[in-house]
Amino acid sequence: MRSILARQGNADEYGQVTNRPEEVPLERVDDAPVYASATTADVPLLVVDDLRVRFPTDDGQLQAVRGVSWEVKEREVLGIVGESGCGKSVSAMALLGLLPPTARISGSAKFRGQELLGVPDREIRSLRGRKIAMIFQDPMTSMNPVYTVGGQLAEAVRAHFEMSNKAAMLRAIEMLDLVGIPNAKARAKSYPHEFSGGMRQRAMIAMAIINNPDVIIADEPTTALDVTVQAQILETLQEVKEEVGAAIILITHDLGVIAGMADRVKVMYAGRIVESGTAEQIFDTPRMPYAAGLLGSIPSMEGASDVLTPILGTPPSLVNPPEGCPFVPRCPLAIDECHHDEPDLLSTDQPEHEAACIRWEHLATVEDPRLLFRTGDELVDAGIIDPELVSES
Amino acid sequence: MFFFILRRFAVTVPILAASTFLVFGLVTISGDPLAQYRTSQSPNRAQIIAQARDRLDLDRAFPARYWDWLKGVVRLDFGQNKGGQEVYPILKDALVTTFRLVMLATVLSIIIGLVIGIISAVRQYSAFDYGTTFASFLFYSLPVFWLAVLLKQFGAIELNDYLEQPTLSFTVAVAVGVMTGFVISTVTGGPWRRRLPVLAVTAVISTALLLLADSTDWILNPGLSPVAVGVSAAIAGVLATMAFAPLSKRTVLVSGVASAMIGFVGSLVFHGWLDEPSWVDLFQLLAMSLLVGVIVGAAVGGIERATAIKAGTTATVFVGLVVVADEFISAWKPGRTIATVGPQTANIKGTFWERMIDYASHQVLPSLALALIGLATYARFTRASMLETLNSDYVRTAKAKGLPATQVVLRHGFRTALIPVTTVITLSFATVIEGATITERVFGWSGMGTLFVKGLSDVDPYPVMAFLVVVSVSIVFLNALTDVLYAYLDPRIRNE
Amino acid sequence: MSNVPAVESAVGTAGPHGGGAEREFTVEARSQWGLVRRRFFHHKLALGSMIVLLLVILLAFVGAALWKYNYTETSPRVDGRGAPTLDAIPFIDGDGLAVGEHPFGQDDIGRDYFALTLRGTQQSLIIATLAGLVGTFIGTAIGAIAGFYRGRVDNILMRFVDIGLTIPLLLLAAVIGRRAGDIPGLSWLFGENSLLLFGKDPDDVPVIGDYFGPNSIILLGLVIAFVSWLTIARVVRGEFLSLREKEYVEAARALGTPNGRIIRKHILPNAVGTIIVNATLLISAAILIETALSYLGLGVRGDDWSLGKLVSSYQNAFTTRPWLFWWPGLFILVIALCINFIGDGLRDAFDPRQTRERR
Repeated sequence: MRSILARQGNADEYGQVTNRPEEVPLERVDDAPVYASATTADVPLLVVDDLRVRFPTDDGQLQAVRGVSWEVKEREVLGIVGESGCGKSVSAMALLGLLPPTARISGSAKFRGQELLGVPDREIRSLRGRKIAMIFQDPMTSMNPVYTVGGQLAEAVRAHFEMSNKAAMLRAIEMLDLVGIPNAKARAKSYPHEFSGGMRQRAMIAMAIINNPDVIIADEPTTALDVTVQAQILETLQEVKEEVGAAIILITHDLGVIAGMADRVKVMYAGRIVESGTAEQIFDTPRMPYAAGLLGSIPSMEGASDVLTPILGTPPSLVNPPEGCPFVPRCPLAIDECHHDEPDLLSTDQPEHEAACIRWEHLATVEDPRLLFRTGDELVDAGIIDPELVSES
Repeated sequence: MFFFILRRFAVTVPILAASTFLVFGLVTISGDPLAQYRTSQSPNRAQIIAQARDRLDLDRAFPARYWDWLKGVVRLDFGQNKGGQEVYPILKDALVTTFRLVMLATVLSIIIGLVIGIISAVRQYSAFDYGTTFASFLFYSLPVFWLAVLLKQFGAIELNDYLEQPTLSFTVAVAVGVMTGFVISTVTGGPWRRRLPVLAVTAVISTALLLLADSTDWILNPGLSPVAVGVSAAIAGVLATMAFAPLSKRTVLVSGVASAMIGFVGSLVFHGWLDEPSWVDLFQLLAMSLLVGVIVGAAVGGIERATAIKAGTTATVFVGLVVVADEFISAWKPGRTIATVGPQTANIKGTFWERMIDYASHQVLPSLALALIGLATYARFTRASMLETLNSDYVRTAKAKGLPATQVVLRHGFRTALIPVTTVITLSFATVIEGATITERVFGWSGMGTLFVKGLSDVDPYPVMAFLVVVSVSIVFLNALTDVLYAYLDPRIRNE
Repeated sequence: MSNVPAVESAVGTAGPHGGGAEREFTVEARSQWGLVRRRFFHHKLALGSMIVLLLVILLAFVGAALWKYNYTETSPRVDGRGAPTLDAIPFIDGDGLAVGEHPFGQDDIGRDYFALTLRGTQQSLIIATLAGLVGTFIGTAIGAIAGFYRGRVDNILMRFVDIGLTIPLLLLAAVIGRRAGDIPGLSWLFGENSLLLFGKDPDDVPVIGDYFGPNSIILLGLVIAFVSWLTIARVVRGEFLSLREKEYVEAARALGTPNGRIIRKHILPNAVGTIIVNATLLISAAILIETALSYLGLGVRGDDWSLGKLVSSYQNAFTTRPWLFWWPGLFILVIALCINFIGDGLRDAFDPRQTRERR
């Protein structure tokens, strides 16, 4: 990918972050920017520590995010999974200062050592769309209907670089081409309503990568799209990641999406992270009942799942979070102690695999954790256990 | 596009025909046109009645009369009124008068309403927001005629009394200064820590200016010194830049300020032109200002050429307005300033500017009355529309791209919010005409409204019909204009 | 707005291992109307306006009946001018809140202005409410039919509306005002020889004479309604056009529900919010329209009064006897303002997108 950026130079006019010597990209070699500090593979790019977000509502304080910590390294794909309303989108938007002014945010989020929370808008602005880019859920409404697609992409470039409109449009066309939009030159002059849903999301991806960001936050990028289009978008995202060399934070409720792409996964429930590990660890050996339940509720090609097993019940209200573990009302392994204290993330038998459950050891012994949520009758019907063994467990 | 317009017109013609027919019929049955003659004591009463009967063609059935009228209208012959005068010339005069009134009022209410709406939406829940919302409701709930009478009393009689002996107490100056500071600090926004210094500085400057004006009795002999014009020019340059780009874009800033300063210098050079200008002279000056803006913008703009040109032209036009305003107020002489009767003083003589002042002083109150009510509507509508767009996903995307706040609000929020506001234009037209009718009566203007009301009470059908035709055609024209505007603003409906 | 009672919280069912039900009910469930009512009461300005309006209505009807003066009787003017005797700044003179003999003053022939103003308020309120209700009813009916059935019906109806919109209100008011007695249908109610007057002089049959006969204010209300329904018809048509595309309407149709039932049970309840809001706006507009009509001499006729007629009649007295101009005007302002605030509060209450976050 030949880039106009390389020719014009990174005349970034904002902020000090981009002027730090180790950030200045050297000339493009084999299509990837080479940074001066070459040993960056293990340096955490984005570190979130004890992030809490509260909203005042008519019924009380809504605690959307209750102490979330994670980090992303360069070029890594971090998946954040959870049901609707568990606080994943809110935590992402808090990073870029996109939450409404009524939100009360505490904790810390550092991008390359620079604090993101609580800083004035002017400082964050230089990072938004430039170093940290975001892709939103609904492509139908994410673009302004009165401006051309190319124009909106060009706008993203010119917000951070001194560039003529023509040059910016060329860059925009380049990006549209990259994400697989056919006839990009003509399409750039079209309006968003002339694009299909999948193409619009591709255009949004193009908008996100146009300034070579270091981190791309994709908030439910496929939720609003058809299944076939979903696969294409994920593929595009994967390609883009290779091209740009960015880390991706993939937020979704769909485990299938995570399975293909994520290196590490954080499972969120009721505003907290309840399990954290690599994708294989979580998928093969979940150590938190909620994760097991999630796995059990998706259809898969193998395993004893001729019956889909949902997790009964709904997430708790975040206005007055209950005492103890919030998953208790729906958890088949809950014991008395679970009602009292909300567990922190505990280390498990596997390295780098943590779970917020005091019964993770028991869970480790269950042979097929996906069957955990089946009621006794279903287990009998599936021929897994004898009818006499059915009891309250 | 052409066929689209053609189709719309094709539909409106039968509607117009039906409505004119209906109205003609209604006017005819609304009373006895000869009533006033019947009660006359004059000896040749029978003759007068016969004459009037003949002139108004009353012997024929009204459909036939309608048809005659219709044929006449096509040839621009609107018939005669009861007194035998041709309606067409009366119509023309009335039209000009009402147009003057309505145009100024509408322009004012749109511009100020939009600005207030934007600020209220962006600074939602602030004191400014609550204050302007309440004021909007207030003006919206006032009967036009009550407001007009009050304006006549306080805006004219009392104000004129005051202007003869203008005094400014210290407390008033401070109060006004603080209020100005408060408003400006709300507009610039931010946490209270940042706002307080802005408030203080603005308050001090405004109070100082007011006290200075008072001590020099500026009111009695107003005018702007070249220094004042120069300073305004510089400020104009900066503001014009801010409207189109962040101040850090140097080239745009240079373009704005440079154009403004050239405009200022030009005003000094061409001062002679303004002593007794003709409309052509003024037009030429306007063209020159625009040209300066374009040339400077193109020369200095570099990458941001288009924005630089916009900023440059806005700056020069603004400077031009300041210079014109200076001429205006310099020509003012103490006396009964604000007039309350009629559109102008009959047979006025004097310099161009003195005549202009005369027009303005007669027009300010009636237009203000109309504008205040329209303003309320526009402000509320814009605010509601802005709130909706500011909460939309694409504004969130714009923010996430790293665009500066002004750009997000104006280019993305306002631009899209403007679309539904265009529908208000057509809706409020009928209200404006109604209001104009009443305002004309209160202030003694004889415009379209007077034509209509007088015709109605005299049971004189032809002036009433003339009024109806003009209003209906205007509505049709306005509808078409709004549709075009809507299509221009919203690409989504362009293919329909 | 959904058809199903909206539930604000996550209502939990017991998990597979019991317990926890009580842990889920942390926020109560509310019905849709409960939500609307609650949101409305949060809007303090609208609530306050409702209270003020009720007080005004009470004052106008009950207060006038209890007041010692009638609006027609005259009495010698207090100190020659008839200035108001209402002590505006209470307690400062040490007199307390003094109402005095003629709190709003007297007019040029000595009538008590307080009574006159209250009378005017009564009539204005009646006219405006009648105009609002009738206009809303007709407008909703026509708009609903046009919006629901679309096609030719919609076209024809909307052409009528377009034509109607070009007819000036003043013209209608003039025609009907002057010729009501001659129009066959209206004459037996509103004509010179109105049947309801039993052949007597309208002044002799006070209550009925106010509302029927040649000086009828009901007629005035109807005239205003006749012009106002057009705008409501447009709005309701728009609502119905969009509501009929909703999925639940489609579902109802698939189930074979007859059209009338669909309109009544599915579309109308969801359009009710817009209709109510527009109705309130119509009523407040009607008051202002009545004022304008009175100013041009086409409003309330005869010996009766409305706020608009009072303000118009005494406009020239402004320099000499300002109270004659201020009081009725203030009443008009307060009533229209309150109704507008209530309408705004209702609009906020019905709009589910409003998130009232506490600041």
